[in-house]
Amino acid sequence: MPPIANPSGVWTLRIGGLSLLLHRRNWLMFGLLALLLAGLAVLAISLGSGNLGVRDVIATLAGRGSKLQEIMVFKLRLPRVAAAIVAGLAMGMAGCLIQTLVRNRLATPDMIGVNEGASLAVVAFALYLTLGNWPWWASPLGALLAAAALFALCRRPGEQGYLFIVIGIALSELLGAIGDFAMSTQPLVHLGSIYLWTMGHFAGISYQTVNPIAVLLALLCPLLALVNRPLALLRFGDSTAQNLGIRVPAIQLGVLALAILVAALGTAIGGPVVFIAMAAPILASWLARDNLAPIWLSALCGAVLLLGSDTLVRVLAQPEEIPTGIMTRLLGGILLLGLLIKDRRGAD
Amino acid sequence: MNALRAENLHFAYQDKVVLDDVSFSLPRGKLIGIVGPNGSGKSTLLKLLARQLPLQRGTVEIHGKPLTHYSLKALARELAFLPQRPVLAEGIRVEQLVQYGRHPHQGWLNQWSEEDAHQVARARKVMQLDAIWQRSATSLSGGQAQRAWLGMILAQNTDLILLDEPTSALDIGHQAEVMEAVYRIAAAGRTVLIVIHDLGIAARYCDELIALADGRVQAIGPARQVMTKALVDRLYDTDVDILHAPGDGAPVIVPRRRGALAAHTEALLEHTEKEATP
Repeated sequence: MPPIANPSGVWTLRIGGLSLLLHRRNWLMFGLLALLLAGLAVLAISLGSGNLGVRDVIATLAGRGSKLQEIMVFKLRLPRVAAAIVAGLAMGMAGCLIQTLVRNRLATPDMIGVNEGASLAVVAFALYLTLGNWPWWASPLGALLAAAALFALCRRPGEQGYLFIVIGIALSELLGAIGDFAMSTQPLVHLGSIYLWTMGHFAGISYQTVNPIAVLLALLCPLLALVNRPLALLRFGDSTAQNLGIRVPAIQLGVLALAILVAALGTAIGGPVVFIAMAAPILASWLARDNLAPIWLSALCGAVLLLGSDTLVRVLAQPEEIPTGIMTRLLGGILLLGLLIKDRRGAD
Repeated sequence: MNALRAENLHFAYQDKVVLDDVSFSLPRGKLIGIVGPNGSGKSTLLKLLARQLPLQRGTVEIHGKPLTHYSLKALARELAFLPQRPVLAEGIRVEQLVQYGRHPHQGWLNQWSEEDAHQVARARKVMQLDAIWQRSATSLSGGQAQRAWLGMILAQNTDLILLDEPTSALDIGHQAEVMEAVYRIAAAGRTVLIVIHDLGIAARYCDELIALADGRVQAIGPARQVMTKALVDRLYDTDVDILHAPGDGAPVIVPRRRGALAAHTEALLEHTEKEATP
């Protein structure tokens, strides 16, 4: 029997009657980004006060460090690095889902009230319920409540992606205003940590916050893998997607729900860091070239961008504390400008 | 058995009736055109048959089984639908576009079979896509893009193919390019139902025609029998001449200028002017 002709640029994995297509460029980029992320993580752990070289970090991670080095790596630095990676993965995935769904590269979960809902919940907890502190699930809860309100306002959100975004923007404004109002009624001293959080801030995060979120994200991954292919077909518009056997409204609704869940988890760690969810999918589709919905690549891009920003802000601002969100805004803005200008040159 | 049978279809957007008591059946392996004036319900009819719109009244049967008894994926293995202005995802290559036509036949753990490879290769050959196979689909000319889309539809390997005005907005050369491609699909034994604006093209390529006006079937039958002066005048509320093409005698429809008398007078005037000048 002659071998089956494969699509170009693809590896085929065959086990018995089963077959999987692996896009070569996509997975090469995935491997490269994973290596980059690992390198960046080791570098991030070694940077900062105290004398800790890259070799020491690797040795300590491998379990051959001194007591002091172990404390520095596992107790002080790793939680923050892990936090930035997990949040970045979530933001990258959520951004990719939303951008693909509404077929607009500038759309993000930030636009549909996820951030404002999360911030409002944290403000409510910190100012009125638990005084000065808040549980890790406060912000995902707020984000989900905001999303529920949005679903209630748009009766069939899957079928009206554009309207959904527009109403989402209005809702974000409203929630943001309520949060600002609540904060403005309080004395300034109480507001420091809340302000840092609403800007996106990763200092002093413990495993108690990172672990449950990482587990929940991992649980959502099989679902994401399941919607990946139908989601890519939605890029061809509703009629063509349906012609190819996709139940369009159901998939749209499912993707939206997943995007909101993932984005809510993303905000839970360091607060609503803007721009990662916008920049990561753009970078990912640029790297993958013709992958129509590069969720996994986008996740890694998000992690690299957020960990990079957080490390930069930590090293540059020492010993001050500047919210990470400010750096992501700077880097993200520059990246976006660059990409858009490059696009325009291509179009001219 | 007929490939498709529609009975007493009725469709209204709110209280505006678009289709009213439409019934017909499609014989297997024929190229059937739907013609009619703007707003006569042609696109709505096609969308109903492809289940892109919900059936309000009446029944549609595909291979003797009601349309609503198919799951969307099962339907996508029997019937392919190309909308009027399909959206191209940015950056996609022609090869990928054609491969996506195999989606209804694939599963999560069955992403590329021998049959997939065979059908994609066949679509590539029939639609003559060799020269543009690795090109970005957004960079193609109108006719090439339409051929690429038809490649996807063909790779879907369905018995029934519904095309909504694949030749609109194309010049005559590209129209012929696309219609030749459609003709090759029908010649390979597929039942093709196609909405066409251009009556000449419709008469030349289609085996049968369905003429729609005001949401009702006005005439149905072999293309040359349907295409009479009386019908065309009534359908489009105009006044045409029907000539016959040299060679195959296919009807050629040309609108008359408003009032034959006016044309006659003009010719007379021109004649006298010429005589007046020495």
